[in-house]
Amino acid sequence: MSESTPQPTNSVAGTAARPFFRPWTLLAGFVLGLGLMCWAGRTVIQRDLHPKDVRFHPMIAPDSQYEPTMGEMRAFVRARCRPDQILVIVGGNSILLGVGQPADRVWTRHLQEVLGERYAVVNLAFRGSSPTDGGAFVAESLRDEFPRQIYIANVAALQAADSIGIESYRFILFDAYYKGLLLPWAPRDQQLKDYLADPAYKAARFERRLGAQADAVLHFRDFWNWWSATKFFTFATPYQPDPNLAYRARAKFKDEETDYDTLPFDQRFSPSVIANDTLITRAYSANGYAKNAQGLWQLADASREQFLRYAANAFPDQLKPRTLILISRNSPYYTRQLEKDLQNRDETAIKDTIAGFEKFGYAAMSYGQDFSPEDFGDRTHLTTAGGAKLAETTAPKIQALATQLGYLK
Amino acid sequence: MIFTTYWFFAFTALTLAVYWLLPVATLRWWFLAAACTVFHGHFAGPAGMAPIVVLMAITYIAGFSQKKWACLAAIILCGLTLCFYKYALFFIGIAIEPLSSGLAAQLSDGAKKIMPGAPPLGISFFAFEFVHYLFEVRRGGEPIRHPVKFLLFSIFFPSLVAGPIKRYPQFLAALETGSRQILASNFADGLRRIAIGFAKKVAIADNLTFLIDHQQPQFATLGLFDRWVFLAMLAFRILLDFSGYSDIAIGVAKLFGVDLPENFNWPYLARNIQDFWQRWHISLSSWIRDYIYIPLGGSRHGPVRRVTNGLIAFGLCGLWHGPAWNFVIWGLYQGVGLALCATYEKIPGVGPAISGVFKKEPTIGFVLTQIFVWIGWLVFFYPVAEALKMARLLFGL
Repeated sequence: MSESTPQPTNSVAGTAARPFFRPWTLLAGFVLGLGLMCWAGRTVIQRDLHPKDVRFHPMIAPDSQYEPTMGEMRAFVRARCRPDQILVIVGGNSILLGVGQPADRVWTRHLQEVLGERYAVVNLAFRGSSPTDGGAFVAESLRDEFPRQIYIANVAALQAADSIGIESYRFILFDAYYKGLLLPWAPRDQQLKDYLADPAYKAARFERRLGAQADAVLHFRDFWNWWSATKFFTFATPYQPDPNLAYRARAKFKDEETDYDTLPFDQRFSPSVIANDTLITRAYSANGYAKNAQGLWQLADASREQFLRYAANAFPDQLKPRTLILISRNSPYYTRQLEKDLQNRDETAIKDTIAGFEKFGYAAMSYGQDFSPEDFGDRTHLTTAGGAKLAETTAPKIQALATQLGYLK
Repeated sequence: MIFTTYWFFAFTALTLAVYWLLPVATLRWWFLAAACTVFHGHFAGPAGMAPIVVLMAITYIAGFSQKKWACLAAIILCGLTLCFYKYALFFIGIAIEPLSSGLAAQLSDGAKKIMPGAPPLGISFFAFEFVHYLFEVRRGGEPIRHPVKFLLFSIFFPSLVAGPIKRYPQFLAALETGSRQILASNFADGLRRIAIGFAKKVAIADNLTFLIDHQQPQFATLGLFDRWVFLAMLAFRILLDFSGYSDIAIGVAKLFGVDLPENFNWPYLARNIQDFWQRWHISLSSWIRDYIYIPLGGSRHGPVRRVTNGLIAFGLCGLWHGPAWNFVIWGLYQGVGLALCATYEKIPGVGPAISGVFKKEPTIGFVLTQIFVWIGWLVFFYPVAEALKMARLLFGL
């Protein structure tokens, strides 16, 4: 260790050296650069970044650390729906995303064919998302631009749907909320307020809110997504196992969703999967049900009230009538093995769920009752054939809803 | 990373605007001190702030009194506080556990009950800056009498989390000069440094982290060339991560008119280990030199003492980075390197010959230095056994 005189400060900064830029020029450059990037963010996001895609597949979804912005999803919708068409936005989870169906045979394509030119079906579902996540906020934000719209999402029987969505997709709520794209809706405002005030996460959530508020003015996420989708992704993702592709522009990735049709039926179910999914299937309607004096399954009052509260608060009142909730069933591969009693309980739960949603003005229906085990790729996801059946089951309900809402006049 | 939070951006922008809108320097100091307190409170929380406030008060009073014994007592207290919060569990593990695991468990449980979940934010930096201050005052330096200036020296927010470790005479001089007049050149320099810092940290270092994490489990199956590429990534990751952080701190301080000491000066251009340590984490290495190595006797009592003092200083330097054996061993490894660097010329016969080669072909010294330093990063980042295995594989062994 040397005992020489300590290094003088600023030996590296080179402040004594003649600057390459004059300070005011550099400052003006910073301000101008920031301004230009904000303007660019607002501008570039107005074009569709994913013209070849039919849905937000994993490489353009949070699964691979790509978080689509509201601007990006709104442009995705605008590019697929003419003003004279009835907009059908499909939200919900991986079932409606079409996991198990390749892009060219995804169920929403079939739905589009069945519904015809008068409608434009846009798939904005995400893996694991609730009915009140991404697609719901996009549809709500486009309520004036596309007033003739129907929003579809799915839930399991009596599944809760918070008005602020789930944690993984809350970035979409923040984006929509702080850009002022959503309707005032007191239950949602209150829930968001409670969420932000939770003492266990207050600092982290405050930080998130601050980011969304700044982005509402600066549009840096829009700019960054445009860059990441079209130029190169700026942060490597562990989702992409090949490091050489980790930085590739996201728009260059193809939709390579699994195709369950390539798997022979008997290879879709391994013993461990069967064991696990059997347990889940048996618990489908377990919560809150007990038999009454007549030996019929009945939902406990507390559970009913809780579900009704969720249903009442999930969507703003004016959006409920154009919202179609699909109640997803498990594959008959599993349900056929249930005792008759449990099958009855599931049916009761599905009926209660439909009735609960309809009570508040939503449209609701179940699907899958007449599906065969081959229509499912696993416990819940559908094969191409299953997807086609879903489209054919849903289309009449959508058409009826469009008529009822006066969209066909 | 605090510097990449929106809160930090918003806080800095707001504080900066108010700071420069205030008409006189004194008011700016008061305001900045209040803002730094808010910053510290926000990120450290009450549990993290309390021990620092107590240490700060004691350091201020001890310095103010100018009593040598008071300064010494406060220095010891700073050292003990750092040891308690950062190293208590480590020390219990190495000193008590082998003797009595029951007692070690009892002591660990007791310590965990008193300690917050994590060591107070920036405790290592606070302790080192307070020790420097007390040491200099004890040596006859002028104490900081103005409590606001002392507060600013203690919790100046740009350097609060990861340094550079400040020296109070330079800091106060920079504050007094820089806070009097807003200069476009300070703004331009500051923004330039901040931009460079973010590019280093976010665009390069964070991506290198991904590649390193991806390749490390397969290190043994990589080809020889790729193993060296991996090592280079490791070396540049730590340099760009840490120097990026320092650049941001220095740049933000510059926006407030304050010059912070430089922390890095192209360390991977060093031609020997001594040169490397004059370029790498300069504020820490100079602190270790001034407050550990020289007080231990430095190089004044012959080669054995010189080497011993160097090893102690660098062992502590390693430990400063974290309570784990690999950091200690990394520090000792650097100490051995420095000792060799300082003494090899005196080895009869071979020494002068080697020295002659290095003088004639400086590139050889440069290459050997980088290999030594870069291999050291393996010990810094990975458990010792794993690091040794990786080092062997680098040479195809």
